Amino acid sequence: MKEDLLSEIDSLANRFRQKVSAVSSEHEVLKVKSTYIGREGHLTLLMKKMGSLPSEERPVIGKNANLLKNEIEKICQEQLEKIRNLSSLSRLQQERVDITLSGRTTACGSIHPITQMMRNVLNIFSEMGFEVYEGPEIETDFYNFEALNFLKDHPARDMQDTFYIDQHYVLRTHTSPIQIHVMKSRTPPFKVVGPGAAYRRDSDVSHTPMFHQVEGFMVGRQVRFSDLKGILTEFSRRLFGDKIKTRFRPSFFPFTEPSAEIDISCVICRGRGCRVCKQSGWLEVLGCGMIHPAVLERVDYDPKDVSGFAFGMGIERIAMLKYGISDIRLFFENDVRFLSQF
Amino acid sequence: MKVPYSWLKDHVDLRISAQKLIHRLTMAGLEVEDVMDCDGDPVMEINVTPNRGDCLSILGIAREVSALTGQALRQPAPKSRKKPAAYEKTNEYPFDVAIKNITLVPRYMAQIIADVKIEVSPSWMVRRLELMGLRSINNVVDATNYVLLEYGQPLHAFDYHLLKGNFLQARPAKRDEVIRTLDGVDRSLMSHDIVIADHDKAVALGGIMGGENTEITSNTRCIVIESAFFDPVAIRKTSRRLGLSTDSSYRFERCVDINGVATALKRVSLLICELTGGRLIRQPMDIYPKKKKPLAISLSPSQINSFLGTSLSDASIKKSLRSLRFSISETSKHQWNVTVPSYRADVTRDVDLIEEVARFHDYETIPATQPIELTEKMERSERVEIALRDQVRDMLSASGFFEAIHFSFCSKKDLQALSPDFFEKSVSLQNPLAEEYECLRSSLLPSLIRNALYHQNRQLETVRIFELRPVFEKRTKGYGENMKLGGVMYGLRPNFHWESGRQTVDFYDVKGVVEKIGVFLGIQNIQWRGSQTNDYPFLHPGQSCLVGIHNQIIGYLGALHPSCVSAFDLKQEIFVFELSWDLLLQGCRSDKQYREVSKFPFIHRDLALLVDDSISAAQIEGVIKKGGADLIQEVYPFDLYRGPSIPSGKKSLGYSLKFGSRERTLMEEEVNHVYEAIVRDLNNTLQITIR
Repeated sequence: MKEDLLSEIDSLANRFRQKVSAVSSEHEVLKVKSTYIGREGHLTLLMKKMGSLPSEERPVIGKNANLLKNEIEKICQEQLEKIRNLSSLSRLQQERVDITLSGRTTACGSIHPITQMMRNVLNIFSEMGFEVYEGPEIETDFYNFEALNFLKDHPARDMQDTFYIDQHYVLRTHTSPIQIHVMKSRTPPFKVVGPGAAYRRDSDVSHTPMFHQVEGFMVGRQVRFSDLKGILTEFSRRLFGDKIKTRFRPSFFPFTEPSAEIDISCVICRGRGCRVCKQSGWLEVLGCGMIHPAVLERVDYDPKDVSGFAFGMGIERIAMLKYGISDIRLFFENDVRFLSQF
Repeated sequence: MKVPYSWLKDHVDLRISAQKLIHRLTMAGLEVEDVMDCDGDPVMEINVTPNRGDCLSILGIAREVSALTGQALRQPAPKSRKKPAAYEKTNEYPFDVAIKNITLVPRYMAQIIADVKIEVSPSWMVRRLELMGLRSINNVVDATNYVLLEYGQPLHAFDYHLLKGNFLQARPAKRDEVIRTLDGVDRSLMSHDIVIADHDKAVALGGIMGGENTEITSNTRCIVIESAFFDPVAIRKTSRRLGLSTDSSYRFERCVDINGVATALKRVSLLICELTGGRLIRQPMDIYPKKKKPLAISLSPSQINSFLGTSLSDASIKKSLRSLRFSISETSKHQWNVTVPSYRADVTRDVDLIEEVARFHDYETIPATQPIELTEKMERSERVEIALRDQVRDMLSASGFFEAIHFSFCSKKDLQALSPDFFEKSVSLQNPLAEEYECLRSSLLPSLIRNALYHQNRQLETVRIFELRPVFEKRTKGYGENMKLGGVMYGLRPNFHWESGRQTVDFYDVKGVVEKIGVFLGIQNIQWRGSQTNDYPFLHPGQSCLVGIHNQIIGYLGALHPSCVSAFDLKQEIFVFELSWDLLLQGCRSDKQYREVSKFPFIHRDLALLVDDSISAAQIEGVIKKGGADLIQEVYPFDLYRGPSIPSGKKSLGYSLKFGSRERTLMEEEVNHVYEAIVRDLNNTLQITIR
């Protein structure tokens, strides 16, 4: 009896293993499972017979039957999971999307390259502790010229062909009037940058009647020409990169003395000489100088007490160099095919 | 200023390479912009700044080169070995000169040269004039031009026999006086113009151009050479008014050397005698009533170093100034008196001398330092507002808009076509570049429309542009500038997707943009008002609205009026908005306070309404919110439908309502109660039924 039952367990195990290895669906696994360990399953029935066994034989048979039962449960569970995984994978694969079709989004525009360049410049000066002020674009002759030491009927005024509104007002020809506005309302020391649009009566590939400048100036008790060099050398390094060389050479502006022009080594040819730098290896990017004592006097500062420096740069020119734009007029045509490149 | 090497070499030895010379000149403030090769003769193009009138001559440049290189300066000398002509004492060719106004003409000199033979100039002179871009005329005129280039002193030759009364006078022009200048143009003059006149008539426009009536011809036998100093401001005024700029006026405007007037006259006289075989009749006449005293400036060497941030020795400062021909006398060890050469009109105070020292030493030798006095304290900066503008720019660009920067100019025609108000407010320019730029825009709209037109003419089917710039307006006193935020859109929606198909923008897209700006800036309670008023004739009356904050209109949005669409030749309707930036900022919430998020669950209800077409969403939402009181948290429309299943004159509107409380969990019955009350109110007040 005992041996019969043991061999029956063995053969049940073999049959189960055969059957379960051949299943391919969830339903079949469940069917196999109930065939053996369901309420009327072969193993269940076998285990019911155990009651008629002598008590000393029960543990051996019971142990083997339980081992088989556990094995069946475990294998069926594994098979079930395997099949479920497979079927869910194939189902998910049917849900596949074309990942190359474009996503649902709001189209992206862009910030005008002049605004972007303006931000770069202002950020650098802000980091260097400069405050930001703007001024009006319609200015009086006093702010635009007279206070900046442009004498009436002096050829220096030819440098800036002016748009006139009436006999008192002009469109500012540079952002330098911001110097006067700030100096008139503040007490030194201060360092300020003034961004904005300016206007000159001019139009060709390198001039537009409206353009943008950033003005900067510092006034204090002992501001030196060497400080101007220190600040602007550092600025150029931060804007154009460490590899760029700068040079300061004398120039003329009525509102600064000494006046200087800052050249950077040509960003196109790296100073070897090309069409953009007219073979000189240098590009003019900034005008600057020590604020003329006559300007300080006009805002009631005493040049013996305070000194200062000022500088100004054309944003379009820097943006043209940076982005390789050869015609300044493109900035103001506002063609979306141009704008979308920035 | 053109400077041929070959000519420069006549006056100073060039012992350094061309490249070094160019560098040295550029670094001393005389920027060499280009070097051109003129048939084997290199010619430098030097950018002479307006303050350096003394460098508008070959000798002036040679003087600088001499100072920078330490080579001696050579004055011009006669070409031929013949003995130079002598001033004859004679009574022949009587003549007299006078000045009427010594402010306008501080010095006037003249030399009579008789027995001149007018011929072509020698080839060396023709060649040099050519290199400088001048055409050869005859030996006398060429000699005056040659010396002008050499010394920078303009000169003029008159035919002695054509001058009436043996007399020349420099005087202000008479009222309505007319002179025909050498270029054949009749110029009518004003009282601040300077003329040179004989007994009868004006014979030259002083300092600018000679008169046709006394010009040198092949018949000329005796000449009067003029060398003078004219007031720079007077010359500039006349030259500007007449639009007549000459080599002569260009130099007088930039101030010539009053002491050089005599030197140049002597040089040109001898040169003419050499070229024409003429005789010098007496010494030159020289009217110079108020002699100019040399300018002396007091300077301390320590002041130079503290201003420049350098540590130059006294000796090297002296050397630089002396090389540039300033003379120095020491009043004490710390105080010098520096005398300025008469040709350096640009040097008037101590800083000018400091610049001379700095440029002589080369700016590159000055150290780069950090300011001693750091100013880290910030007062009233505009940085915050600028940052806010940048944030809005970023937001709009992320919403599909490209930022544009248009010129501030527009045409009156465009403004007129849009609104009489825009036109009346606009600021006109006295000297515009073109008709399309004749005034300053009082609204961004003309630029935005022109931009849309530009793109429509180039087959671009979708455009979204915004601009954040000031516009201008006339005020009772002066002019005003107002920052505006505006935009234009047409074509596909910014959220276009293959799934939804080609949906083009309409009123609700442009309204959505403005709503987003409001949310972004934290502006609450924006009011939308119909735009029936006559103030906005450029808007489509049925598809536009005015934008209000705190009962103040801050701008508009909507479709452009079809009549404007056709007036501007637009091919497609466009949608625009324009808002006052300052008023937007005023509506901005600066007092943001955190409110705790409700912990209690909320209850959703949808409402499907059958509404009369004339009833607005705002009316319906008003009733719902009033009925829901403090239990209603959110109301938004999720569906609008008109179609076969809806009676004509009606629309079906679906609303989603969210109920909740911050204090407790709401009961279903409570919500049902409120919901039913809302339905009742809608029916009672707006005759709305539930579908």
